[in-house]
Amino acid sequence: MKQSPELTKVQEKMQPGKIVIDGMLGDDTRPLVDIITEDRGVVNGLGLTHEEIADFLDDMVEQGKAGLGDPVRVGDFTVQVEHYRGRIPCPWADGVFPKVLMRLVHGPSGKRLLVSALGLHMIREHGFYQGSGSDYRVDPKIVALMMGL
Amino acid sequence: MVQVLALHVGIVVAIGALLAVLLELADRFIANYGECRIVINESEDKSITVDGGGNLLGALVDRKIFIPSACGGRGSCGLCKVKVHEGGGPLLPTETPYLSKEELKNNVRLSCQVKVRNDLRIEIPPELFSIREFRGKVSRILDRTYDMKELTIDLLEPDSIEFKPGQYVQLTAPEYAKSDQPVYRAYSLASDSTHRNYVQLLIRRVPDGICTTWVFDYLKQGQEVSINGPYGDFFLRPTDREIIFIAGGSGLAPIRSMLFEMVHEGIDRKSTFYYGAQARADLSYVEEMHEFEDKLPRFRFMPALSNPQQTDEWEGPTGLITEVVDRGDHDFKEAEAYLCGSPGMIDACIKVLSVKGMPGDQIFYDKFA
Repeated sequence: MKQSPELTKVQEKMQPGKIVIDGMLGDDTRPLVDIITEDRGVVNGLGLTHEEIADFLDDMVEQGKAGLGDPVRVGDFTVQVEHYRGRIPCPWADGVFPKVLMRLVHGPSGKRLLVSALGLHMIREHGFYQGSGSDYRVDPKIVALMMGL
Repeated sequence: MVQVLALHVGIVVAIGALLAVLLELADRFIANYGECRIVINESEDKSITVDGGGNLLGALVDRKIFIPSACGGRGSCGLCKVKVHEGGGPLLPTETPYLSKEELKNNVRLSCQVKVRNDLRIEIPPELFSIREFRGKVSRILDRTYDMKELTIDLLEPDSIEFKPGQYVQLTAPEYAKSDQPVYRAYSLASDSTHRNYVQLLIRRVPDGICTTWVFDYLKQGQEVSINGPYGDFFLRPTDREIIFIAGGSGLAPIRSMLFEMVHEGIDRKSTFYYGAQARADLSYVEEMHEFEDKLPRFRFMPALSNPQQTDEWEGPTGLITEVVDRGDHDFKEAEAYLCGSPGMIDACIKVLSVKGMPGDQIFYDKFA
């Protein structure tokens, strides 16, 4: 699919050193539109929506906040939510987000996810789960497994 | 057919983009807006005259009026807000995501997005007039914990700073191997305000953070740096109330500065500092805080660990900082609280203090936001 100039601009902001030190695309060199399209297909195939995935993760963040930075048990999960000083802009330029980071560990499967407040916003509003190889990649299949699907 | 259509769309988009670039270039190099008067806070003394054409943030910075900004005017941090009452032109789509309804109603704009093309009438907080840019040299970098460093910066030009303990400065991380543009980040001043020729900052590493990666992995002792400030209204109020300080991690910085102030000013108010950490390895300045207990007879330092390790051999208070504060023996209705840390920690502490009867106007805080 052809990528719009706007999305190319967004992809430029996802490069290393622009908003975050290692960028948001990992080792994925494809155009952003292809990354988003493929993930949309995966999400649809799982019978989920971006919003449902974001809601699930958001709920974990909210419950994890009770630990004030310490890990807390939430059902089968260990959740640690940490705040760091400052805010971070979305590459789509539609908001700035606190530097909140959730470390989510699913006990039964041992699967782990690193999810930032900005990452959650990008899933919900832009269907972007970050590139493969990125530490912050939220693989929809892993989320589905964590959701018990 | 689809290919032909796509080709035509592509041509139209390309022409549009080219025209936009030409317009921007013409605006920058050909258009002459002459001199523009920027009336600030309805005061002739504070008003400035600048050559039109640039953006408002740049025009103010050129006249040494510093508006807090983390991205250096690229419209991505949403911090450089000022009220523009006249002459700012239409609101841009690049601004609206960063402005609340209340701010829109009050003419708040992002100063980096407002072009100076005619006279303007603007309003900025008066305290910003005392902000200065300082050039300094890093005289010491000290590991305070595994993820927290203390920077000491000797001031070169100007060579002294006046600040209220509790305030913060912005540190500039220049272009370096991992970032092709400078960024600006806020850090509380941790130092003794009577020592005006240097400042100390306490910086915790942010995973993937552009500024903290520079501080931790690239910044060297002896290197020149730039800061601007001081900013903020988090400082000790001149009352006789008992003080409850609460902080976590690098939130200790402004409290440390306030404790120096209490020593120098002879402020002998009953005070307790609850400092929360997970394990002993996350605690810093413990010895120095106990030294403050000797200098301030009515001050108590109360570090608390939420997840002490066996090897910590910890005998002090344990639990979340909210639980430890909740168990504290204070006259909460009459005391004042000063909080510095993450928004989650601060919100949770405010809840505890409120339940204990502390009125909201006796709670002061600096959220990491």
